[in-house]
Amino acid sequence: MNGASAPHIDPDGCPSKAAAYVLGALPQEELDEFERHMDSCVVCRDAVAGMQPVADALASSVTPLTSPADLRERVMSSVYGDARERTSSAHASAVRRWALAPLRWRSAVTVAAVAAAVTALLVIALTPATTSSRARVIRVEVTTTPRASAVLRVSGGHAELEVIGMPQSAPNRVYEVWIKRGGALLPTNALFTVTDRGSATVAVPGDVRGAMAVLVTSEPRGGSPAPTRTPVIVAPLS
Amino acid sequence: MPKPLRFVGGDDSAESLRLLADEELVALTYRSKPAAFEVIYDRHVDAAFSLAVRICGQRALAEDVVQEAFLSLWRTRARYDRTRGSVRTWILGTVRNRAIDAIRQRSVGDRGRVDDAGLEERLVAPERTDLEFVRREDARLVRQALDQLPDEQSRVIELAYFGGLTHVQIASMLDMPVGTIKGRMRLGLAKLRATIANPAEIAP
Repeated sequence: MNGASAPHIDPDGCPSKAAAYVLGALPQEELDEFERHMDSCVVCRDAVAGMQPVADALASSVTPLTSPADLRERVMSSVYGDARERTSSAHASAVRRWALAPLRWRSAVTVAAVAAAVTALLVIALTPATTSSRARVIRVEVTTTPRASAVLRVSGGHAELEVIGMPQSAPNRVYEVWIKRGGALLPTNALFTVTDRGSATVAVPGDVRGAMAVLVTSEPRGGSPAPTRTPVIVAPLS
Repeated sequence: MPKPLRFVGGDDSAESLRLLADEELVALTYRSKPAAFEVIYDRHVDAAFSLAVRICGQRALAEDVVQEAFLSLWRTRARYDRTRGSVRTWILGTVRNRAIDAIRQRSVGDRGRVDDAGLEERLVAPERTDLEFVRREDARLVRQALDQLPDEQSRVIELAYFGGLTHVQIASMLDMPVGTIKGRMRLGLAKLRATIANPAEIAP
């Protein structure tokens, strides 16, 4: 049963370790040995290829849970921060490479251009983070249907609402975004409908700093000065 | 030789990104586009968290595991090799390895097993998309297939995959030859594969 050129590594023959391999049950030493063995053993390689999807299915077979919203915020905050740092350091190293380039190469460029590059670098370093890089992401419940979900990204005074799986608006109706300040519900000019897939991304007009929540209601086409229906989305900001 | 991934132009709106396949999103993350990674996170985090809770038995530890796993995935995204499996496999494999490491580091006395039935009642995730619905149906199918395995086969599979035990450790724990354990793993996986391929054979 062994592959033609594979060393014999298992007294039980090939592919007896394949199942333990895909289940992650080989001790480290055997794991290393088996992976080397697979390079030349088509029997074990095929066995692993056949069993791997079953092992993958095990990972998805567990009781489904909802991950915490603050976990998302922690992870994505680190990811955006890392991306920002990489972008800054990439610009810095580009300028360093240029500065270290041979003189004859550099002489083709004017001193003014150098100054511009350095200025650009300083601007990048000193510019406040972009909208997404410091965004606070709030996962929001949508009451229309259990399949709908929404997130509100808040950066400084700017907020953007993204919905997924929302039902289509009824004929002659739209969704309207509201900002809650104190006890008042203030209308915005953000009226939207959703795609066939129930998706939409809407910038919340104005500055949301100091606001208590962003809400969405279904309103007659053209919007309403005051809500006529119960909100389908309530995104608390504080 | 895999086909090169389609490069998507400058349209980075969340709506556009959400239309892309996982592999296309990973290709975009090579260019340090965190918004693409955010979509990947949203698609798979619930499955990752569910797996971590299943292995760790504690939500707090599972949260740490998932956080470390996704940050590790972001840092090592250039190493993703789609010829070795889907993005979901890559993510869940990373989460599983981190979770196993976490429970190995934890003292045995602290370890607890979560009551799955209770959690399901309280924490079941809403079905957000059709794809998610299909995944949940698949997951249910696999759970039923596992339930139909002979106990001795499902036990060694669960001890290995969710318990992080090697076949040598399982053999020692059950006081059986390693060859027997390997055989049960092999038979169990083969039956699971056959049952999943023919769902009609699964008893309701």
